[in-house]
Amino acid sequence: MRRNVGIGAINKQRLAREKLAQKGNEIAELQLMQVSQQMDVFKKSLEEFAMKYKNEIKKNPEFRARFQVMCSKIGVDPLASSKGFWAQLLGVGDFYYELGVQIVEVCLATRPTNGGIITMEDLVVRLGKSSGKTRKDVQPDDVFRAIGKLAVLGDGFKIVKVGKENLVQSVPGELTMDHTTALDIANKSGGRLTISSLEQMGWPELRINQTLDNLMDQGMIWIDDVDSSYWVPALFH
Amino acid sequence: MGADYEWPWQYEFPPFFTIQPIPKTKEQQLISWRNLICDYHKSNRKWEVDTAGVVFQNKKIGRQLSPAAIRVVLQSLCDEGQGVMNGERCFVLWNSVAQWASLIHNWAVDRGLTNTVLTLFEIHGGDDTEGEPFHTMDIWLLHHVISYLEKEGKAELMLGDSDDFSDAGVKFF
Repeated sequence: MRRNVGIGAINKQRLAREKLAQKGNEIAELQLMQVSQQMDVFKKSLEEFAMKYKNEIKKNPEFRARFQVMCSKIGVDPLASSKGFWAQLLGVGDFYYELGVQIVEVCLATRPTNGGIITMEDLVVRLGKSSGKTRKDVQPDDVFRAIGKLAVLGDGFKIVKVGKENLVQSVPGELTMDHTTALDIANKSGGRLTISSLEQMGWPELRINQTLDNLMDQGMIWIDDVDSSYWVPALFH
Repeated sequence: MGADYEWPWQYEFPPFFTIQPIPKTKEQQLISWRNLICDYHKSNRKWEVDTAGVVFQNKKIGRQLSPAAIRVVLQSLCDEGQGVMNGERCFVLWNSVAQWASLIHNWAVDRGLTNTVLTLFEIHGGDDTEGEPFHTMDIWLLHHVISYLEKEGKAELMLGDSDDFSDAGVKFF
């Protein structure tokens, strides 16, 4: 009867474990190699794809959006840097960089009248009209991305959701929940805001006054003495 | 009304007709008012502001500037050199006085009309100024612009006895 307790047996077990470990490493290495080969192939295909559809990516907003989604799924950000491989290949970094500059221009130009808030819709229209480069094909999706890139410049630019509307805010400072609620109410009546509509929210007088005063100070709303109503230029239509 | 004049969006914006209490907003509002007044009068070739006219009153939205608000707007217009008061009347300068002066002086020089006495009415409505941007310019305003040239030593005004400048003349140098 073998009891497998001797030195020889221990050595044998050790050898077997080592062999297994070695084999395991071999397999892992092989797999890694295969995966990295696959990634290389994939990356190459993606590059070829990107090269082939370079113009399409630049010109067709839907195509561009889908390409962005595809890249982000595999962890590639073509916009990460304008010096990056993708940016050089596609020039998409430039696209969003230029768009970012134009967004800043439009926001600054309209800030005096709208207090630094503009609807996505209005912004896209104005970008389409903006002089110089033809930007007739700009979509809200592009604006979202470009503003995301502007975020590195500080908290000057952000997108605020007001009801169903996306507002691009180009002035520093937080819009409180009360501010966005008030803007949402205004948006539902063509930009008009009344004290009674805020009272219907169950707000006490102090809260209403604070919200209105604050929005007034920021130039986001104007007062109409005729019926003591307030109007949001950015949401007036 | 001028066919090619398009009201700015603010003209439909009810609070545009209330002078805003926040200084920054008010400043912007007055810029918009000044632009509107200049553009409207230029497009319609109207020289004098009609305070009871359509500019300060939008019947469609039932809003109008109060007399006090109109004074604020016109004061701002004059402060920025885009308007000039003649007593209670306000005249619009969509070109600055200096620009008008130079346009008129250049015209006189180009036509070889220097050192000749011209009546203000000839400049206002004569065949020679047909097509010039200052053709039909209000006589008082014309006198105001030429006074500027006189100060610059480029013209000499010869005022007659008449209050309405009907016999006033000018010699350009």
